[in-house]
Amino acid sequence: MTWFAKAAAVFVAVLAVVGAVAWVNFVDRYVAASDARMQIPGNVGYHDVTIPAITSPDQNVTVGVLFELRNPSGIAIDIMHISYRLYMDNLTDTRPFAEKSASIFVVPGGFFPPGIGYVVGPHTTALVWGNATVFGATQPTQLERLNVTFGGHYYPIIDASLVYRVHDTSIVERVLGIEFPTPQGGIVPYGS
Amino acid sequence: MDREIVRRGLIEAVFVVLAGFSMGALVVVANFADYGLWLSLDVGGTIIFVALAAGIAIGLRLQDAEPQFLVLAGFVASSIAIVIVVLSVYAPVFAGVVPSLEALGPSDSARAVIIFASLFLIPIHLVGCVAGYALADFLAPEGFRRGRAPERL
Repeated sequence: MTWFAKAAAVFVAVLAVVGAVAWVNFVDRYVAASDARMQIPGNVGYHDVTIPAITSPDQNVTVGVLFELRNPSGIAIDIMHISYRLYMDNLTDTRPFAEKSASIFVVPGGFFPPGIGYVVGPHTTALVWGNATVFGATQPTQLERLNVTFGGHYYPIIDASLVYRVHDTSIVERVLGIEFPTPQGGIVPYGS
Repeated sequence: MDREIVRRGLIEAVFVVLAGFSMGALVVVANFADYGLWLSLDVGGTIIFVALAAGIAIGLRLQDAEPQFLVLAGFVASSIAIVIVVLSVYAPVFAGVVPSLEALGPSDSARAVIIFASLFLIPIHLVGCVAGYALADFLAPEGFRRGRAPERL
């Protein structure tokens, strides 16, 4: 066998080893990222919503929304942000939500982590607070809309969206329409 | 059939399969740079360089073979590469994590482009094979060269 045939054999072998290592790395990440993209939309929801009692017209009210994000996939994800729109349902207004939404909208809120985002590891669950604040002194209309209770309970409607990135990739996904299922009987004001 | 010929044929077949696998693997890795892989490659450059380099290597290895076997080897290697690309693109479906790739979003055309671009491996790899075959003839010692010696005028 000539020297260049031997050199060609070594080159092909090295190319195959590099290709195999890169390919295994790729398939592992590609499958895990695809799994994450499929499963995340069904694994994000609400853990708790806290709304304090409103006692004065110039009160600053911070509404807390605790989001729960389960990551059942084998790859970490970065929460880039969770944003939501907070509405306070008026049960006496029987129009469909689409028609009355403008009149019951209170404020936007969300969870906006700095930097690359909030990392949720593989097979773990994250609980993150997304706050919204109503400044009574400067937002009297919003405070009035927030302070709508029936039987002393709030009936909030929250429509959230999540933007996340599969960790260490440039795959960014958005989960829209994460709706808060208002519990039967509403929410008891926090601190009342 | 001579045992030595069979053994040599099997060894060369292994190198053809390795060349096909490495071409397919590197092309697919170059196409999915979004996934933050440890190896970041340019798609066009990878298709040209890997197909040519692997082709030249196969051409150098098959210096003693008939030219039709060289072409056959080139086709087999590039076909293996294309199969690797297609299998890799559909890996999440085969792994059972998605019902179909449409579930991941409307990027059907992007996937079609990846598979289509991998078809360029065939001609480039064949050119590489022929170049390697010619190079082997050029590099071979006097007594090992194919064909007849140039006639002196």
